[in-house]
Amino acid sequence: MANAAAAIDVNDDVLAFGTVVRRTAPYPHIVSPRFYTEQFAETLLRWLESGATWRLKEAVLFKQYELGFTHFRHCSEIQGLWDPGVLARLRDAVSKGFGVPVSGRINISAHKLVAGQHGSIHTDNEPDETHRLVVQLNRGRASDAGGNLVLLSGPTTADMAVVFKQATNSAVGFGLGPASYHAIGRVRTGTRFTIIYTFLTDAVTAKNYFVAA
Amino acid sequence: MADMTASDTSGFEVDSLIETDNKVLEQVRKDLSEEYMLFMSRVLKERLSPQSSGSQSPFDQLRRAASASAGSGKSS
Repeated sequence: MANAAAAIDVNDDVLAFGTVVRRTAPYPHIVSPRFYTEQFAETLLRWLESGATWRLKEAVLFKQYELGFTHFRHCSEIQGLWDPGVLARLRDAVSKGFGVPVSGRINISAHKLVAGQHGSIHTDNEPDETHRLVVQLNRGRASDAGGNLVLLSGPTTADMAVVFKQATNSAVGFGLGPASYHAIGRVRTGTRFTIIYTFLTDAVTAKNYFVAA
Repeated sequence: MADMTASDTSGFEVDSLIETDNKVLEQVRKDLSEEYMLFMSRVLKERLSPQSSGSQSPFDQLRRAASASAGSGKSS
């Protein structure tokens, strides 16, 4: 009983995620204006700004700094991020949002993009990954700061369909597949932080995921 | 998660997260176009290099590269 009560407390301290709207174009995706509680969003952003150790990743389609949270379990101030109860609530909310069950096996990572970095049009179509949820964290980004998440209906810029503003603590989720074209516009000023939740299949063999309660 | 449509209050709140400023949209489109052209240029150079088989179209290579980068990238 005590454990259940503690789990509820952690849920309430970490996740807001009370409003989730499903949209259909260019492909099904969900949007939430407030993902974390204000307090946890501030704690996490402060950690990203000062406590994180980033690794530069350059690929043909993107350039960004990354970190995977499976390597940061010792950071007590942000441990609510991978709390099994929090992840269970997240799994259930995302399942309800998409109208299909998603797995409780969830990879959590963070990205940092600075001026000049970007993500070209791509799909992220991988066998063991079913859905992606992207949470923006920042202290306010001007509309011309760059780094917008873009959803497209096809592989070219003529297919640009939705451009999201970078309101802090807002979240966008989408299913991954051969048609889930998306991109990140080039960052012009400031720093773009995002938390990335990747929902995996139950058949995944890699061990870089957390498990929901 | 009380609301699942974009036709009520929650929908309006979410709609405010969608960029509608044409100036910003045009800049995003321009940036993506430049990155796309740079990428296609790299693909074409690779095709023309002696080590390349040249058996795939640039679009096939785009799709292959996009797919190959997906798992490790999570570039969202």
